[in-house]
Amino acid sequence: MTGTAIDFCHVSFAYANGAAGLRDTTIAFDAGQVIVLCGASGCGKTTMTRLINALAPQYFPGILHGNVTVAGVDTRTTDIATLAEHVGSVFQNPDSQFFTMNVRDELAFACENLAMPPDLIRERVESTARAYALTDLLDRPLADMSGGQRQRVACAAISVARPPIVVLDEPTSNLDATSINALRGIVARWKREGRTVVIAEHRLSWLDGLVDTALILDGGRVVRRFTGQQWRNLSDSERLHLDLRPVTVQQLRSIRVSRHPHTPTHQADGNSSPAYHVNGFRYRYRHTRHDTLDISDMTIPCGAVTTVIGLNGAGKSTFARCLQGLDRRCRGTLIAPDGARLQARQRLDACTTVLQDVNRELFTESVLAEVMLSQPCENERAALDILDSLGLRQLADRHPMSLSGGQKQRVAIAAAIASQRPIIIVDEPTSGLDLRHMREVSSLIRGLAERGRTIVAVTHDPEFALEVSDYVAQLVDGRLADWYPVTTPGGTAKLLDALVPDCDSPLSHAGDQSPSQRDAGQ
Amino acid sequence: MTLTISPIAQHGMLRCDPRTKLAFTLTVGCFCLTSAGGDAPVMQQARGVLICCTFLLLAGSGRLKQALAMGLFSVACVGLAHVTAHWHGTAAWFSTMSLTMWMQMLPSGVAAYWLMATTTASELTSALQRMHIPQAVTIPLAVMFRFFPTAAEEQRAINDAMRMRGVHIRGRKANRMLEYRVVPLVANMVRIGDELTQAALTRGLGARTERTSIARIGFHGLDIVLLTACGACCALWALTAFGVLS
Repeated sequence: MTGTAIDFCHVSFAYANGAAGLRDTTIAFDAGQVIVLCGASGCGKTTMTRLINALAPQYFPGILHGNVTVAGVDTRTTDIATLAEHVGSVFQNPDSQFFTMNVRDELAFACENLAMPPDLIRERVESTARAYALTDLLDRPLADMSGGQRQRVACAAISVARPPIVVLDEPTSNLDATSINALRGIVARWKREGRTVVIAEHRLSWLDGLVDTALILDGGRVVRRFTGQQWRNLSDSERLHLDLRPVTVQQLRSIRVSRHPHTPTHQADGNSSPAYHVNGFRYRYRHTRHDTLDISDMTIPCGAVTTVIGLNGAGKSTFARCLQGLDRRCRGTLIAPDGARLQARQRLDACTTVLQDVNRELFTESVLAEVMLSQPCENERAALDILDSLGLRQLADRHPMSLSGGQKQRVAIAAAIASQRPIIIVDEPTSGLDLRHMREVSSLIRGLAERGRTIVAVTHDPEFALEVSDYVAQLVDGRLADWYPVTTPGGTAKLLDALVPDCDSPLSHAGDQSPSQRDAGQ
Repeated sequence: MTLTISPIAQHGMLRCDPRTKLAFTLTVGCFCLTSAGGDAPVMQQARGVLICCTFLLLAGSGRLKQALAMGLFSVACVGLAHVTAHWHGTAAWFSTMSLTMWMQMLPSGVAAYWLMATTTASELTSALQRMHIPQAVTIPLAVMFRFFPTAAEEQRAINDAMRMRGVHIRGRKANRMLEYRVVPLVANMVRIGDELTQAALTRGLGARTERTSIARIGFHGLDIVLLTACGACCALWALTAFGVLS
């Protein structure tokens, strides 16, 4: 297919609920291009993807001015479902974009809806499964798969219907380096096949070398447009000026952090800086022979940030749950600096977790009540002070569920501070955040560590890990493979090697884990 | 042993059509749970055959352990019922009541479990579609299959978060536990439902009035046997009702 694939002609869109949309945008994309949309949260890039797949205005009500023409079809007069033949969509959350229970049915779903003959669908499902390395997983339940595998299934599930245009909305938010690399392989494949791929993203370096057009949006308008060549040559200073995450792998690898090595404040002598010690953490899923998690010893220094890294399914989330003391199947103790041995029950009161999905931990009717719920003894003054320090004071009476994602996360952090528990665990705090918000979260977490809290951060995000880490614990197959202070010579290089997708290697579909090894609680 | 209901698609001899399974489950419910047909000896024998079929079907569907456990349990119930039949007083009344209840409910439960455990959502919806049931019914049904496991997972995660934040039975906020649980649960279910709808729409759900399906359904040997058995039960019922059989 040649010519124009997507055409925006003086398009404005205002959401009925008042959320920021898109303003007077005129732009056209040639068929077969890879287009990346970037900009801060709320800049209009997601709206643009929704206008392409017609979710706006057909599913998200609002007022549309101008014309959006996709594959020669006016999106205003064609309904979303009919447009599915032309546009495939992959969303951020791999958990909630599946309609069936197993991979085979999922791959068949789109074609079934388009009423293709069953034998043709079966043939297409088989060939697509081969192309996306899913043949062995065809009859496996989706619930047993890792985040990376699910995102691959989501990509395969739209490819089956062979749409000429593919739209992805922050597809890498929950993925590790290996899965991102696999996703890169898929985008490259689509490009070879001549599809037009539109990606709204904060993380950019994984698309290094694939981008044909890059747009920067701000306040609902396209403010900059780059060709692939200009994009690759974007200087580091200009990128920072535009508030963008690294655009190329090289930029990502050359990030330097200027921070002094962590010096424990209560150091009595050179060897005995205060620290918690993980002792014999073991976890085994039901019906499995091997321990999913087996960490005999690990040091978590006090008043510092220890970052736990590893692939999807390496046991990071299981480790966080065990540390928090949430699971009775987990064995092991945590030895406090004063020598106290904390069993799971005591750890429930010694640790607090800021969950990846903060919606699950906000229970009350106001932000203030949320913070006071966590206080060991309720104290409104202290609670308001905490809200003040996080810039949440004016939201004290709002209902937590009415806040934006970033605000909710800050409320959860405020509650964690108020709990006065010494150890704070943060699980993937920066998934789906733009550069500025990511920096805010990391400086907040640094601040907590500097005020003496012990932080354990589970993350896939290389830039975040570089900004916050004092110590790094790398898990491989549930074992502690490596532990080092970031400031040791070669520390940052090691951290980057573990977290940055290696784009030079042949695009593999590695990263498959058996169902028993996938992270708990995801 | 766990009573998981993640369906295992059936192959070979023991595969039968979802419509047959529905008919069979309804028949078991009709004759064992609600005791249609009364106490006529013929009906008692028919009931016995139905119950045996139920356990055999479950065992044959790859859930041998579950079938054996429930079979043993019902044998134990029958045995106990014989013992307690000679008792007198409140204890006897209570035990007879509860044993009878178990004996009546268990076969229907086993049949329903067999139906759920062997039918994938896609098989069920395409079977319903062949029965000319409109998409307005079949699609919500398919969503329900997908929704319950998600809701359960969400519930577990919220439970964890509550324990982590110190909201538990012995805590000072125990009286508000229900309220605290409902807010995030409802909010998250709404969000997930929303995202699910978007994903389904953009993949063409509702584009055509008729969907096709890759589920292989259709009537085979076992279907004929089971449907005949269901028909025979109804025939016996009619015959006893009109007094032809006693």
